[in-house]
Amino acid sequence: MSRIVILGAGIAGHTAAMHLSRWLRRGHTITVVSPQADWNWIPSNVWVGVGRMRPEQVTFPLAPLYQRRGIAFEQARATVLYPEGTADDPTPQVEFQRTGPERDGETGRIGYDYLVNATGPKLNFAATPGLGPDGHTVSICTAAHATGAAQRFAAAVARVQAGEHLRFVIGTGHGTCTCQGAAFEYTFNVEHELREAGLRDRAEVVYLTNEADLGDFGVGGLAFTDRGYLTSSKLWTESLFRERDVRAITGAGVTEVTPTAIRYEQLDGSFHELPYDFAMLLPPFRGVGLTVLDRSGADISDRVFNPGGFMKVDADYAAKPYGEWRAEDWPRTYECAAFPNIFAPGIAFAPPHAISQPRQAPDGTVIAPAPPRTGMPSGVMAHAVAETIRDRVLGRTRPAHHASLAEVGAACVASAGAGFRHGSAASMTMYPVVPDRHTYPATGRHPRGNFGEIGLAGHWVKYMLHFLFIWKAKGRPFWTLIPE
Amino acid sequence: MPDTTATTATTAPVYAAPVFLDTAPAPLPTPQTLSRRRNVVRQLGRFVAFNVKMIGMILHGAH
Ligand SMILES: Cc1cc2nc3c(=O)[nH]c(=O)nc-3n(C[C@H](O)[C@H](O)[C@H](O)COP(=O)(O)OP(=O)(O)OC[C@H]3O[C@@H](n4cnc5c(N)ncnc54)[C@H](O)[C@@H]3O)c2cc1C
Repeated sequence: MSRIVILGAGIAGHTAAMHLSRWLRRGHTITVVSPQADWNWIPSNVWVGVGRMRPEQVTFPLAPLYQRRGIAFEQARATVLYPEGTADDPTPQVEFQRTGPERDGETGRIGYDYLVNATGPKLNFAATPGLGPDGHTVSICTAAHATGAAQRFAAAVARVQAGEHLRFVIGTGHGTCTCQGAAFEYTFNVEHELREAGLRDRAEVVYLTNEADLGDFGVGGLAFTDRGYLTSSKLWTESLFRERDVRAITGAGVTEVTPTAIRYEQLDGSFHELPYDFAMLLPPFRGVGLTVLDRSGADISDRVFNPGGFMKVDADYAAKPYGEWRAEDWPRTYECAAFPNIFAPGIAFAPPHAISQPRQAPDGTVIAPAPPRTGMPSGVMAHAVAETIRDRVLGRTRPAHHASLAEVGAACVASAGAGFRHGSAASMTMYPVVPDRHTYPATGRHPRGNFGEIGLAGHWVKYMLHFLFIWKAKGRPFWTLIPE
Repeated sequence: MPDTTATTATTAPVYAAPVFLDTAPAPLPTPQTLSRRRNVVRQLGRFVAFNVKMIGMILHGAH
């Protein structure tokens, strides 16, 4: 009998739990430890944030589903890992603190044979003074944040309707943010809603980003063929900004948000202040801050996590200059380097380096996107990890399954406005996510793997994916036919 | 250890007005392109095409 403990019920953790629960039916236990009672389809938070969807449309309660599937659920936040056990008990275990309404604050421990750390990001609003829902800006990173954003957006729209001229600023709230795609989507959804309401002439929309160029998206941009030309995502994105009259500030690391202005430094070393009326700025991400203790109780967290709190896995972490980055540096199996029965798929693993070119201002401030680990690759990694654990539990002597970001692709459908007839989205595919300049010398990616197109069809795809992925997450009939 | 903080003069940065990116050199879609992007019949075809692309990529990336 094997005990599998999964920390986190986001895209990666839930994917692993669902697959393991169908493969390991009898005699094994699967336990999910996660602080929120609900699952959230985060990509649709963009529509919650402009009031197009209600939070109930992007979330559902996990406990009934897990009960049906024989998965134990602890509504709790993992705090300490004991991968060697303790002085009295050699069983590897995890300590957690309950967060559910009835037993909030209680601590507990659970033993494991295999541990999946799928705890995703800590939303590090504290990195920038004044950033986030406890400061002066809104966020769409969780369903609750997006609900708050929608209320503040509606209030701002009412002011424009009353005749005021307002500035809406959307983007990244620190020089090292990732997830620019989400900020891009929210920018164009806000712009779309203002236009549909006939208010665009009194609303200025500004995209403020740490990307050196538009269209970088934290992956160093894309090159794809369009009408016989190899074109760049930079040109393509700038064209959309021009068409929709969205102003952009690039290469900006936000340093402070006051109640009326956003202060930032740019790559050329200049400092600026941007007055605003409504602002949604993404936070930088950290690991969630788990502590690791050895048998004697000594803190060995730095053996397991990097300084950013992300778990060190089977990657090549040797520091090397940008020109020497290789596709093979990226992890393949997500096995923890220090303890091979621990895995870290999704945002929880430590990337070996960025994907976009590293850049800093003359005073040394880093202003460059951290590498994104978006939904589709997070699900693919979790699937591979679940397969590896299944094989080991069932005693199959096979090599670990792999899903390196340098060998998987990603489809990104970035909403640019909702509506069955008037919506649009930028649909992109890239293969692989991490450029492989050895295999694909021209652009680092497969010549036919990269693709980009803007139009109404993209909105339909994004809307379809919303229903498909919630169907899949709920384990409804034929859910296994829907790919990660 | 010497106290380095005491001697470091921290000058507050001077904040200038924002400078926006000039997107004027980027291509502007023509009215025909914009109408193609909204044309339901054409977009139905694009919907199918993008789904085929995604499936191809999933199959290619499957291990
Ligand atoms: C606004 C927004 C829009 C996005 N849109 C897209 C999109 O359109 N397409 C796309 O592909 N990607 C998108 N992404 C990215 C996508 O959401 C992430 O890539 C994905 O959620 C990562 O999955 P994950 O499981 O690693 O982390 P998460 O989904 O964040 O899951 C982490 C889980 O761990 C739990 N947890 C946290 N701390 C602990 C702890 N101490 N113990 C136990 N559990 C813990 C959390 O509650 C959560 O359940 C978007 C992201 C944002 C913020």
